[in-house]
Amino acid sequence: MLPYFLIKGNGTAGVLAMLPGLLLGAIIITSCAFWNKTCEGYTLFPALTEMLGTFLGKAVGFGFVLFYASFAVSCLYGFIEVINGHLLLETPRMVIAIGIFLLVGVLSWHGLEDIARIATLCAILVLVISLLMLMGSKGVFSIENLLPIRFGEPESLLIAVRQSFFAYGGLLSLFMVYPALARNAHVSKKLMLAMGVSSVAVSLWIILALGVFGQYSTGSMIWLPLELARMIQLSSFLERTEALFAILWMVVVVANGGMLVWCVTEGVQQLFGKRKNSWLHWGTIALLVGMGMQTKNVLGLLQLQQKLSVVSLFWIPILLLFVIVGSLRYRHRQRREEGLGL
Amino acid sequence: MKRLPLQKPQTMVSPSSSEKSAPKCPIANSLEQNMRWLQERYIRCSDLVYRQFTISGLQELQGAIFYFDGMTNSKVVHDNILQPLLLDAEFIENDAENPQKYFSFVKQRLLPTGEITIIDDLKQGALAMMNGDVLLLLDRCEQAFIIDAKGFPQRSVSNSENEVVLRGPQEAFTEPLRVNTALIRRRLRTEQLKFEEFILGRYTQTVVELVYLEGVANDNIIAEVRRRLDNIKNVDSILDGSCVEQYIEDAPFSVFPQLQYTERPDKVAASLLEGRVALVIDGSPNVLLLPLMFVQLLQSPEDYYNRVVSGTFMRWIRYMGLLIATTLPSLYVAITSYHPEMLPLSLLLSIATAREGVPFPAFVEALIMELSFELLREASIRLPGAIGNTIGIVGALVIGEAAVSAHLVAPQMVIVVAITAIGSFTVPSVEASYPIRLIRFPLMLLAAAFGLYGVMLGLLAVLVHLVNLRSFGFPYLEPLAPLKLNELRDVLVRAPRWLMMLRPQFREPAKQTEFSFARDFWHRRIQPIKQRGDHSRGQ
Repeated sequence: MLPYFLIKGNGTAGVLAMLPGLLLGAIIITSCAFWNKTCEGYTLFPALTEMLGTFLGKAVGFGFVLFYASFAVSCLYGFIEVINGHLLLETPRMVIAIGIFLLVGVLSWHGLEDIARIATLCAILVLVISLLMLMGSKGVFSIENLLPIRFGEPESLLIAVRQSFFAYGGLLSLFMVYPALARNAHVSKKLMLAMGVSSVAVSLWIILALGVFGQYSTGSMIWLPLELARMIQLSSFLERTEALFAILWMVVVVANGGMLVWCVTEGVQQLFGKRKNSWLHWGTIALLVGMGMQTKNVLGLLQLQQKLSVVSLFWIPILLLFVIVGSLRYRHRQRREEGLGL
Repeated sequence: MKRLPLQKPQTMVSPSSSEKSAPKCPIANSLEQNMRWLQERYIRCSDLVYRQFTISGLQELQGAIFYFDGMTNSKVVHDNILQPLLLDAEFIENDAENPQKYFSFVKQRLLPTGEITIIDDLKQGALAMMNGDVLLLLDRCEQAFIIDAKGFPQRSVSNSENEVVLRGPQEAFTEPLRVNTALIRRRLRTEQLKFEEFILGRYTQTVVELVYLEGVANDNIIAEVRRRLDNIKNVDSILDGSCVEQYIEDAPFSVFPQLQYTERPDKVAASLLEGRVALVIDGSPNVLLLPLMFVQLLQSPEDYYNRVVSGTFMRWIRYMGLLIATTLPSLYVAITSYHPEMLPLSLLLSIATAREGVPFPAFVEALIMELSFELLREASIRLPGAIGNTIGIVGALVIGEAAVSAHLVAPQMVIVVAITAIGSFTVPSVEASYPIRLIRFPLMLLAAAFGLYGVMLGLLAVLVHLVNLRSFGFPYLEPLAPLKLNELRDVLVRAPRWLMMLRPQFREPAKQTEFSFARDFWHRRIQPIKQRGDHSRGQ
């Protein structure tokens, strides 16, 4: 849904609203690296308890879990809305949600290693989809639709910035994943590169959509990539291929959703001091399904996204602040103990 | 999913035999006592043959042979055992009184056969008899001879029936273990080729040999296989490789095989060179290879005997066949039922016209045709040779034609089912065809319920399962997931041999010699040949 918020009321200049999000993403990656270096060998929740004490550590940990849960619900239900609204109009939303969450639940239960393997395949798929979109939109793209480059109302721009903030705030999941990634050398550089590549991909789609539909039509389209896919014709044989693109995109959704749900369930299990507890795991997933069902339709989802983006302006910096300050204090304490020979 | 963990080898333990742990039965001094023990053990065994005799006509030199009729070579028994002992022995009478001397004499001079084992345990002798050997007992001696005289009926080495190739060796394994090990030994003439024997099954006493190349195979895999085989030594029976497979695989409830079957010695040799391990089972013409990666099920030995481009092309045909066999019926159901807008108008009209008058929805059509085909396939396996082929062809034609004429199914459905079947036949491994056939039906069901979303849900569920599946600790989808780019050269294409100098993931290479070899090979590969009278060639 990020492209929708970026373009609505902002036109071509909406792409620039991603910059604050990129900056936030860079800050998160750097904080992750700093935290991991300070608390090497710890995962997030034990590290928070160690840095901030039991009570405050668990409270901040709960804040992380809530953020992951809201982000996971927002991502997965966005895709569910696409399926329900465009492909399976008569199928109950609950049924579609249960299917996706079951799959994501099994994937997250298997662990991070399996999620990473599927995510590797996603990278190839995203490339294929992007190439298909590029080739397919050749006949309908017009550079004149991109002009003039204009800035919209400050309110629209603020909404776009907030949404970009929230979207890139999803990188907070790196705090759960980083200890596993940190085995590779130069991991933060690779993460920055990955973030850059994905931003370029999103920008490309936005520019393609603007070039195909124009700046004013796109303002009313919620699912821009889907609408773009609808316009694409692959040779003279296949047309109206939005269903194909949607289900190909499902691989990416399942991989991302798997990782986010893993962060939630792993976080909950770590908060309760359990490991691989199936009751906690599936109970958490049932709660996520329930949370998402509170949004009755796509409008409800849009409202939820907007509320979350407002809250995240405070939520994300507070969480980051706790982690950074806690890491600094912990490092200072370690140096003091080393100095005393303890 | 329960996963049997890999354990690091503590020490290189020698293979254990089920007999080793059982209490021994030492051979008695008295021939009568030993004979009585054996006769009581094999009471009511009409195929047991025993003959008591005097050696060289001397009353103080008594002996007896025991063997099973039909298991031994009569000519060896008569010419190489009985004749020398009864007729050709010339004893000095003093030597006859000393058991050790005459035992030694018999061993050195009177048994002109290749393989003789000296034992002091009657149970070991009994086991050897059941393997087709002859047990020779001597009076007043606490040792006995096991003489190799195997002669049980066996099939000769013939062509492979299930792994047919147009180019390359045509030999296939047979039931006897030693024939199979000989076929492997003929291809890998190195002392590093090891055969470790295990005897499994309380009632069958089946000999299972663990085969590997020492220094090439992964020691962890070898130790783990030993551990798993040791765990099953006291089961009732091992009748075939499939019994061993079911006992030792990681995920018994998965539809995907975690061990590979082959009846080709060249395939076994190639797999051993890659660092894999083989299990040869006595009485089974199939050898088990492990660990198994999914991509290996789609590789044929013929890929490596053909040229690079041809091998690569055939491999891609197989990948396409796999995709078609798994997803075509479900895609047909999904697109015609939920997403007809994807099809061009002319095709859509054609399908709509053909389906006019068909009373069933696309899913039921697909189900009827697929089930009919599966019934035909299963029936043609059970029927004898020519009848089976005829029934298969005629049945398919008749059923397809009749069903279309009766407006039970659309003609497009018959084409879809036919192409699906052809796609499934391109998969070279028989054990890989079963999961493809099984997965097709749930995918069709999901397509009927949820369209393309359901198909993708099903495919992703299979992918999640495969990503989690292990074969003896190794990821099943390697080198696709986890992605290993340098190993994809034997997956996406069939790279030339001089570019595949590193062993795959099973064994970590000690040195990175691959690229220097490839570069040198490329420079050295063509030497111009100077011909008489041709002054332009050669420098």
